[in-house]
Amino acid sequence: MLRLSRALCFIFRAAVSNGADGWQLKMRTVGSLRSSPFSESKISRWTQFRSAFRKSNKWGYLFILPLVADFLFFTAYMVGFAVWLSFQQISAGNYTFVGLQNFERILRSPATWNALRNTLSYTSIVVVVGLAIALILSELIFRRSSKVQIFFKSAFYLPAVVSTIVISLVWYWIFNPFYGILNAAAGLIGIPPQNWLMNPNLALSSIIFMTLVSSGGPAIILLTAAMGGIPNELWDAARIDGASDWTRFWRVTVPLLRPTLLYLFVVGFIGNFQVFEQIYILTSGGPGFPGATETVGFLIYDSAFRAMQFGQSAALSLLLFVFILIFSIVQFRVFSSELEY
Amino acid sequence: MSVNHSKNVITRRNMLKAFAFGSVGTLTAACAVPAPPSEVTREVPREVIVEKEVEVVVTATPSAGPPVEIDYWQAPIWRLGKDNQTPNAPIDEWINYSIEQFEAANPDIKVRLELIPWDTWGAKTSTAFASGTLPNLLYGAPQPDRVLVGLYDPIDEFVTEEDKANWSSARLAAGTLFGRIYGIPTFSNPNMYAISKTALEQYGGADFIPTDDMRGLTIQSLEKIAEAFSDGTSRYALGVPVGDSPTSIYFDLAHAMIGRGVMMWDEGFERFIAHENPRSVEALQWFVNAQKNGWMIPNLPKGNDVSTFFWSQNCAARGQWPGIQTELETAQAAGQAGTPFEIMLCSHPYDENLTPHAAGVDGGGAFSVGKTNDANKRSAAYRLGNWYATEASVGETWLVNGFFPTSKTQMKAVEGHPLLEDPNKRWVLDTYLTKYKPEPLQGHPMFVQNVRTVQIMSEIKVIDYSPSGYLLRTFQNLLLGQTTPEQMMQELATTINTALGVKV
Repeated sequence: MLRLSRALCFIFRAAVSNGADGWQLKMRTVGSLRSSPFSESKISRWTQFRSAFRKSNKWGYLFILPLVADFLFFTAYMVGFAVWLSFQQISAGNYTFVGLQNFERILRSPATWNALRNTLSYTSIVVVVGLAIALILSELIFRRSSKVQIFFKSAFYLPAVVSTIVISLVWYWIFNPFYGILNAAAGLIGIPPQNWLMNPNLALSSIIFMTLVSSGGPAIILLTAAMGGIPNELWDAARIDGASDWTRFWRVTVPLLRPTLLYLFVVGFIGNFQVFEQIYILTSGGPGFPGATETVGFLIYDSAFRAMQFGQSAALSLLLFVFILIFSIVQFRVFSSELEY
Repeated sequence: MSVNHSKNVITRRNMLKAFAFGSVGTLTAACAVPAPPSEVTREVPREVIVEKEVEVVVTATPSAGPPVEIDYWQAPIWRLGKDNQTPNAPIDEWINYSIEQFEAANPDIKVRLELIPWDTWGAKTSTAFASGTLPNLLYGAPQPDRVLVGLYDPIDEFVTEEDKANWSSARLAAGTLFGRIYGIPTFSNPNMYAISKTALEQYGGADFIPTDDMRGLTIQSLEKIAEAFSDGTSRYALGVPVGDSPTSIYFDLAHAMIGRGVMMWDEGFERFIAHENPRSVEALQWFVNAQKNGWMIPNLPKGNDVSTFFWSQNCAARGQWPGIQTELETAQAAGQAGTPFEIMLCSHPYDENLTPHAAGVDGGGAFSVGKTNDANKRSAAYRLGNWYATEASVGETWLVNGFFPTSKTQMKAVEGHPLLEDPNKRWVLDTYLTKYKPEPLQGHPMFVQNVRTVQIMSEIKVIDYSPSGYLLRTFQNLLLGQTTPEQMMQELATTINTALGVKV
């Protein structure tokens, strides 16, 4: 951001020195003021200010102001408000401080632990399996011509530009037990019709499958880009040393992709831990009680907007934050390395 | 390139410091206790019951000043255009037209309408209820727990004897809570069973349709219908939208209990008692058996699935509102339902040795007035709500959209309307609403409809879900085979009575 603001400042200065109309007008005004003996002090102050301002990089404040305002209001303020809410009982606009009661209640509730278990299962499988699939596909795509690469990258990335809601609605029809195409396809190979979304043994797996199929695009783009940054000499050297394709992939490519993989792992974990839309559209957290697909993100929504327990919902949000924080720290500790290739 | 270290340069360290200070400041501001709403005085109607005080109020009268502006929240419930005939008209056409009509007749009032789609209605109103920021007029009957915390204004001060005489007395009683009037009754929307006569005539079971004027559908008749109609693979007599819809609780689960004479609550709504009646287990077992026998659409269908089966004649019976006739016309226009398609409305299933009840008669369409200290806004909101309840021309709108007007002026206005020649509508008006006894409130599991039970649910601390969500999920467990009828009844009793401090 600072670099951007400096660049914009530089462009502005260039425009000024090249005689932008507005600036010329201002200079003429200054010139006319100079001719008056009564305005010497004003001129000198203005000149000093202008000179000081041009030398400074305080323009940066102006340029980062929108982002800072956005951060302060939509992130810092909201986080602070959520923290405050988690200690309140809210009803009809009345706020009552209840201390740790909301936390005690959510930690004692089996629904919370069920939701955490579901969220952890969902996230672990989606992130680990999703990254493995993306890595394999990236390796396969990267070895093709640029036209083929573009085609496959676009094809895999396409679902990323479509809203999760839309994708979920499409999959809702695919999974439909009565007239969905998945059961029709399964019937062709002799598999009896399944209730993909309302069978507690299949529901979460079905949603995980849907996410895996439709969310690999961004990882493939990043991984293929990172593969492009690996010097060919390293592969050539490995080949000369007699390394097989698998060895080259495992011993050369993967270690050099480690920073990208770490990034995808952490970001994927954070994003998927907050899963909500798919659950809301496909199963509403069900079936059954406690819900077979109920995640922490969905429980936060359910507590707030269906049970109207806003304090409890805020406490759950903080719990989610703590879990994400812990897992992110662990991931950095485990997967990051001082070793630079 | 040299680096400028002068004081005018923002260093990374300084910028991070500024960010940190800004964030801490914002966090502190966020954590500051917000001032309680100063203008609104919370009125707890519980005190009204205890003290029986008569509140002195000033009724606002129209003045020559600028018009009073009121906020009005409405969910879309009208399917036809402003002429009450054009199908597929813009969803806001009739409501905007009606507001124009109202404002023309009441130039001292300006209405700011917010038409809120159904998919966001729940979240929007829940947030408003929690934050205490209701509009002046809100679509929906007043709910006792919200009355208790003072979210609504009572409207006794505006209701004249003329209004009371015009309104349905049953609806007036339903809108009266804790001794004060909170609900403006607008239309009636009872619920019942819808049977596809065409489907039964085509595939079997038509012989068991109730033929008498009362149209009471017994459980025994429904079983015979199910036996004759269902093939267990693609055709099922009964559609229960247990996958997503709370209607499966109050259309199906509740009436399976009430129809067998099982009450959920004791007389004083102090204790959950359904588990003490063995017929409650029988009622639940009936659903399990119906699913096993192939009488009921399997796989926990959602509302859309049940509709698809029903419109395609692969489902013969479901709980519904009388508006199903309008829904049928929409489905036919969209090519989802065939022609001819004859629907027969009848009672919810009940044991042949018992008496059937009319359901949902006391609920239905109503408006509530949000709390405000501005007497002019309160008065204006009441006038708008009462206009929808009593304006003669609006009566036809309720009727063509599948509801029933309830005020005498609107009932008179629709007399002789061609739609009232429809035998289903005539049955609802002449028989269901008049000759059936209203369902007993003690039998109802949808707690929000009862003054006492809504308090119960708001006091239950072990449930992280809405009451209907909790019941729906428990019902799913039963149909998934994860629990038995006995266990389900025991779990409900334990959950509710333990929370109430009552020994199970």
